[in-house]
Amino acid sequence: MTAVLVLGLLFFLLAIGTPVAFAMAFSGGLGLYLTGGLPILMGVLQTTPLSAVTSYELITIPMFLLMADLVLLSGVADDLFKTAAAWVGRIPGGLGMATALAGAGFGSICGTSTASAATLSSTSLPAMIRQGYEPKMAAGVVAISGTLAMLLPTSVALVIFGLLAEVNIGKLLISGIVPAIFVTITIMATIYLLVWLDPSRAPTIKAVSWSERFGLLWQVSPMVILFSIVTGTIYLGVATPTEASAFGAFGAFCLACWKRKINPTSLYVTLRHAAQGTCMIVLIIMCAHIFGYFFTLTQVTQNIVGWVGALDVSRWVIITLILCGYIVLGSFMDQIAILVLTVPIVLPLIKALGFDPIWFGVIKIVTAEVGMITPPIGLNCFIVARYAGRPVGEVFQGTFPHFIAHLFAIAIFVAFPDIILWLPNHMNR
Amino acid sequence: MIKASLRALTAIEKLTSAIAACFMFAIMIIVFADVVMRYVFNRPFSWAYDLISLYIMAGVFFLSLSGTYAVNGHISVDILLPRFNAAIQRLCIIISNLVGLAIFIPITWLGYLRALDNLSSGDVLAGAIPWPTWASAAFVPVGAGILALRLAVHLVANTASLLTGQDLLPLPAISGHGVEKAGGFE
Repeated sequence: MTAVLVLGLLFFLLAIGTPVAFAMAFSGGLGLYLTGGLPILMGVLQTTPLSAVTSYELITIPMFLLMADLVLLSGVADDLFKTAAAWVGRIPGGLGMATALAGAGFGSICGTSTASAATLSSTSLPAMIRQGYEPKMAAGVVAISGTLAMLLPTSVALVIFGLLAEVNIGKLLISGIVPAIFVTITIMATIYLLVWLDPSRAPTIKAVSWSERFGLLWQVSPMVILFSIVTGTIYLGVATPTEASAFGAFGAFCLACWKRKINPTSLYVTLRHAAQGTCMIVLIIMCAHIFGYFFTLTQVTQNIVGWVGALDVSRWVIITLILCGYIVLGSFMDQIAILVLTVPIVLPLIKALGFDPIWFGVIKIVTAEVGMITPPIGLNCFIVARYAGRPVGEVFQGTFPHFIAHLFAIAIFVAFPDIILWLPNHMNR
Repeated sequence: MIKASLRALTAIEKLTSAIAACFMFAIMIIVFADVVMRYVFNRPFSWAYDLISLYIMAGVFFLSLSGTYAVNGHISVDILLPRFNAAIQRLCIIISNLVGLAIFIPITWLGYLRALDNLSSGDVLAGAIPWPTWASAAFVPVGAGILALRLAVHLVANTASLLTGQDLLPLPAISGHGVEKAGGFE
C-alpha cells in the first residue's frame, strides 16, 4: 500500500515539473519514514549525500563531460565532415552519409549526443542545404547522427548505466562499438533508400581529387589519436575507464590549446559547464539511492521480479514489452531520469530471465537514441531546429524514416546478441 | 528585498562555482599525472586516489549544487507544465520549492551535525596519509545549505508573484527552447 502511495506521489511530482532528483528523494524519503520510521530516514539522509559522491569511479562522468566540452571548444569536427564528404560525397545521398560518418567519428571522442548534434548542425547541415538537399532529410540525418555519441566509448549515458547496473564499465564501453558501426550503416542505408525513392532529394556534387582526399585525411589524425587514447587503452586493459577518461579530457585540452581556442574565459566557462552537468547527473544518482533504499526495505523489486518470473509467457515477449516501454518513455522523459528510475527494477528482472546485463545496457542505449529524436521532446531535433532556423515539426518528419530503421536495428540486436557481445568478449583482460 | 537576496546568492554561487571549476581542472591534471607517474616512472602518487574521491569530487558536486539550480540545470519532466496558465505554473513551482526545502534543510542540518562530530572526534581515514574526514563532510552542509537558501528565496518570490500577479521571478523556459542551459547531457 505504501509503495502505491509513494509511486503515486513520485508520478504526481514528476508531472508538475518538480526536478526529477527532488521528486525521487522526497517520495522515497516519505516511503522510508512510513515503513521504517524517523531514525531510518535520518540515517539515510545523513550518510547518502556523502557516500554517493565519494566514489572514484564516478569521476568518469565529469571527465567524459569535460572531454566533450573541450572537443566542442576545439572545433575539430569541421574537418571531420569535410573529409567524410570528400570520400563518399559522390555516392547518391553522399553528403547525408558523410554526416552519419562524421557523427560516428565525432561521437567516438565526444560523449554527449546534444554536443554532437550541435556540432553537426553547424557544419554538415549548411553544407547539405547549400548543395540543394531536401531540408527535411538533411535535418533528419543530422539529428539521428548526433545520437551515435551515446553508443560509442566516451559515452556518458553508458557510464551512468554501468554505475547503476554495477557492470564492468570498460567492457560496457567497448561493447557499444560494433552496434554503433551497425547503426551508422543503418543510417547510411536509410539515406540511400530515401534518395533511391526520390533522387531529387539529393543532387550529386562534383568529385574531389584523390590528392585532396588524402590531404584531408591527414587533418583528422588528432581525432584518431584522441580516440586511440581512450578506447585503445580501455580495450587493451592498459588503463581503467576512469583513467582513460582523464586521459581523454587531457588530450582534448591539449587539442583545444593547439587550435588556440583556450583562453581564461573559455576555459572557465567549459569547466563550469562540465561541473554543472556532473552536478545534475550526480544529484539524480544520489536521490535515486534514497529512493532505492525504500524499494529495498519494502522488497518491491523482488516482488516484481517474482511476479513476472511466475508469468507463463516467453522471456522474449517480456523483453519486447520492456523495450517498447522504453521507447514510449523516451518520447517524453529525459534519458538519464529513465535510466535512474528503471534500471534498479528492470535489471534484476533481466538477470532473472537469463539475459546478459551488458547486452541489455547497449540495447537500452539504442532505445535512448530513438528517444532523442521522437516527439514531443526529442532534444536533438530541437537543437537541429534551433541551429538551422527551421521548424521543429520539419525535423521530426525528417527523422521519421530513421525511427523506423532504428526499430529494425533494435530487433536485430535482440535476435543476435553476439553483435554486441563479440568484441567485449575478446578484450585483453 | 527579494532582488537583493538573489543578488547575494548569485555572488556566493559565483565563488563556489569558481572553486568547483578549479576542482574539475585538478581532477584532470592529477589523474593524468598519476597515470604517467605510474607507467613511466613506476611511482604513482599515493595520495591521488583518496584526495580525489574524498575531497575533490565532493567539492565539485556540492559547490555546484545551487549554481546548477539557478540556471535551471536540474532536469525535470517539463511536458505538462508549459500547457498550464501562469498561475498554475507558479503553484506547481511553489510545490517543487517546498519539496526541495523538505529534502535539503534536513540534509544540511544532519550534514552539519556529522561534520561537527567528525571534527570534534578528530576522525581520520585509515591509511598511509591520515586524511581528516570532517573537511570532506563539511561540503555537505555548505552546498546543501546554499541550495536551501536559494529554494527559500525562490519560494518567497514565487508566492509573492502568485499573490501580486507580478513576475518577480521568471517562469522556467520550456524544454528545447533554451537548450544551451546545463540540461540534456545524454
